[in-house]
Amino acid sequence: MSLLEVTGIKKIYKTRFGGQAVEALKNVNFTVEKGEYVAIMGESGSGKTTLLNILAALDKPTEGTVILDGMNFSKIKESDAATFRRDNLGFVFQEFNLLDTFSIEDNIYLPLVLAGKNYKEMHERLMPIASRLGIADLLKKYPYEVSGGQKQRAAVARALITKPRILLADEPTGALDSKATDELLRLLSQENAGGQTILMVTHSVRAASHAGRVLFIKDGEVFHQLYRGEASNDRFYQTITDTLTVLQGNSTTPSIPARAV
Amino acid sequence: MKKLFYPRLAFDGIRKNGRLYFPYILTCVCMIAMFYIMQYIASPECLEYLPVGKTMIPIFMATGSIVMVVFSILFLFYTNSFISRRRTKEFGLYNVLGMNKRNLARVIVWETLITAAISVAAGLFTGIVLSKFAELGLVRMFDGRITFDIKILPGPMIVTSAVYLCIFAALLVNSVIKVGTNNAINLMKSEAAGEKAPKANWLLGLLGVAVLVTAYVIAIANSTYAVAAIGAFMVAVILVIAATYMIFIAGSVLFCKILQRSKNYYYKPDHFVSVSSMTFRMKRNGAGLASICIISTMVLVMLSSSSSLWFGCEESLAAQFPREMRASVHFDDIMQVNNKIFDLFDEAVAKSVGKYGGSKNVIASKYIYTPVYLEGSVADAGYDRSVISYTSKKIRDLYVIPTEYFNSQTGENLVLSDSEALIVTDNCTYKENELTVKLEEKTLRLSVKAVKKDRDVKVRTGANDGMGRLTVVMNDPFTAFAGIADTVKSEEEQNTGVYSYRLPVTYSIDFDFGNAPESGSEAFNDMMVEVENSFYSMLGNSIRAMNGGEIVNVSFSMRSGSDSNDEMRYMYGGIFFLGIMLSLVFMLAAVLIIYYKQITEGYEDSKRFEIMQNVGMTKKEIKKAINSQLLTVFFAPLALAGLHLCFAFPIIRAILVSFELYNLGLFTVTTIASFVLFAIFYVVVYKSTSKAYYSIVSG
Repeated sequence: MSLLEVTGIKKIYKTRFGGQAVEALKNVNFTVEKGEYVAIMGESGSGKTTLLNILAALDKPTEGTVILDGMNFSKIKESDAATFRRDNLGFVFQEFNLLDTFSIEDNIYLPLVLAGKNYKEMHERLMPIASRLGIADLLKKYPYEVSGGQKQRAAVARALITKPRILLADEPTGALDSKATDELLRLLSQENAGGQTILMVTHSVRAASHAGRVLFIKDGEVFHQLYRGEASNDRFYQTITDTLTVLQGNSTTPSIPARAV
Repeated sequence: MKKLFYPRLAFDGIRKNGRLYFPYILTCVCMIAMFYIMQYIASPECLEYLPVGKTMIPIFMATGSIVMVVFSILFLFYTNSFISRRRTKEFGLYNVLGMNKRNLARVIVWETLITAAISVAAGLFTGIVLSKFAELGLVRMFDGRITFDIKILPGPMIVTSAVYLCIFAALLVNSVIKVGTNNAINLMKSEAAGEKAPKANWLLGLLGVAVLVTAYVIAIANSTYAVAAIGAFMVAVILVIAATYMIFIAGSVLFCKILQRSKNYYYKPDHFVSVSSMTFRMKRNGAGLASICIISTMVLVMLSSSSSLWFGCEESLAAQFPREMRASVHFDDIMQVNNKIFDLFDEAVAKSVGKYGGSKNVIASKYIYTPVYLEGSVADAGYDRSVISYTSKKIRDLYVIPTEYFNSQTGENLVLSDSEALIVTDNCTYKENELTVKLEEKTLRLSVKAVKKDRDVKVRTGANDGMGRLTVVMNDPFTAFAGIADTVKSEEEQNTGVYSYRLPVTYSIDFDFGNAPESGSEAFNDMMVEVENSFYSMLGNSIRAMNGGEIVNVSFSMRSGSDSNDEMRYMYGGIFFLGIMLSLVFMLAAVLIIYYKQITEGYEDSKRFEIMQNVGMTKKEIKKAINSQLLTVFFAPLALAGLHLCFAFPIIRAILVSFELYNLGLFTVTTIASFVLFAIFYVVVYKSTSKAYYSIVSG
């Protein structure tokens, strides 16, 4: 059995007075195995964010099921959703989402404190993660005192400290410069090598090229997928770029045949 | 470019930022209205309806006006800087879009013009409408002539407009300079700046606590003696203000930091978020909270003391003058008493009021007075005044009154044997079975038949001065005390040649006229003057005649309750009136600070809410954390104001005694009532401003 099974997801947004219905997701099916590193790519408006919100249990699909490690999302009560997210999922956001009133250390502790863990245990969990992510020296600082890359690594630490079944990352490199991006991607790959399952939504080819598999979403459906196999990052990067060109070519400039490139 | 571009931009700016501008303009309106009312009441056109007090009221209103101006300047600068800080970003955007500093200044000029025009116009209008109510209230307080026409006085209007237009001009200059010294990037950034983590300032925090304790100790230590109390009160007030600021700015952050140090306390779901954001909130709002606290304390002190002065003044006047007239004759010492003079006094009173139907409802009293040092059952009238202060806790005012006067005053039928006494206590208790009055070596020992409280049996003696008072009712005290005094006198004259004891004796009657014009009318006042004059000349002549022109050591007086203390009534009435008006303004200011505080926090928290939710906090958890710290932050100023008031209570009480307010129970009641009323008001403000907060946070 796969860790994450997404079957027949459909999401329709309706305006309040029954006006036009917008179909954000048509029919999404895929699975993620334990220990996998999956990137989901797609243009703006392709339904990436909607899909991520559903996977994060922030939103409910109109049709279809999401099952994480045997737990069906539709069975989770609204009131338990926050606790479920806290216990099973880790999040990394484009805008870091660190609280400015907490030091880096306290920001990382937040989910554990909410879960009622004692300080000693939290501290023991934090130390190895902090040294792996290279933020051990920054723990006492406040978010405004550190760089964007450091903030994002703190956010990753916060996501990892709960030992989530799956780490969901939403454009994690979107607000970073190229050096910080490389550093973060290296760290994510490293965590993945250590056994952490990662699902990342991005439109950055470079970010996606670090994943083991890339899903392409278009018009609310999984349109295509690529496996890295034995390819290197650079090679995989090239493959992804080619695929994207084909995909975009089909939709925006139908007059030029994809094969001709 | 369109002609009305700048005015329109300014107008839109105000309208779009209505949440900030509306309360600001409202405050300006209220301040202007209040200022106009003060000017109006001080004007001769308004004062003509008052029977007297035409000198006192303008002085109070002038004082009030000055307070208003100073307060307006401070407060409007505070709120204005708050608004402009929020708007700098907008100006930064205009700047980036190509408006230069001159253009921005033009927008600001138009904004100020619009705000000033609306404020002054609406303020004067409100002032004119409300001035009638204020006038009616004042006239009612002083039983003046009530009229119902609304007057619009140009004088106060011009003064009010001039004063506030000057303030607006100053505000304008200030904002223009601020925009002028900033560049575009700074303008855009200014709102995000200042997010640094608060540092615990041990020195300032501990100093604040130390200063507060010092102030409290000073206040308590100087609360027995009215003269010392006034000076000490000023010192204590300044210290308390300083301490309040230090405690809210540094002490509160320090406190949160100490909480954060305790890992087991801090890393708990209930404390984690609230303590950490409270640290930031305190740092940012410390000064505002301290201001709220001080304003609250000010309002509480003002309301409680001015209202107790006013209500107490009516009451103490009523106690002092239970009848229309009071006539009295007074001997400095019992050895000087000449019983013939009492007869002459009665005769003079009877003759001078004969024209007006004689006297009725007469309360007659004759008593001996002396302060005593009370130790157990021994009341020493000869205690050393140079060693023991009049404010000592063991000093009592001792009055001795014959049984027949007690019976005639109270309507009771008390029968005492010659060795018995009834004791009436006021402001103190008496629990002994006997009482020994001592003068040097001579003593008078009485067994106590009963002890009663003054509020149950009103005995007519001297004016209450706030001291503990024992009134001894006994048979023929004058013979007994004259005997003692006589022995002491002969001994003293033998030893030192001078008799120094003073056991003054007073004979007084309070009465109404049998047939007098309506009380308070002009004819009544004329009658009073006529009766007084005839009494003085008649008694003076007969005493002189009696003694063959030799000077007699006796004083006599006749006063009416209605006119002799009018100045006092007007003074306290004026203070009370001013107290209410200033309290209203200060409360309004407190509301506005609270409102702006809520709004600022709303904007900050809305972002934080979102993050917390993303990180896995439930809505319930977030609401709980936010609520607990919102409540703490909000009610901390009220709690500290309450504490200030508790410690100020004894010293204010002492000061009120020097203003001839002796009814201390009344002050307790007004203090508690003021606090309860203010707390209710505070909660209402909290509830309504919380709405603004939640609408921002959830929107």
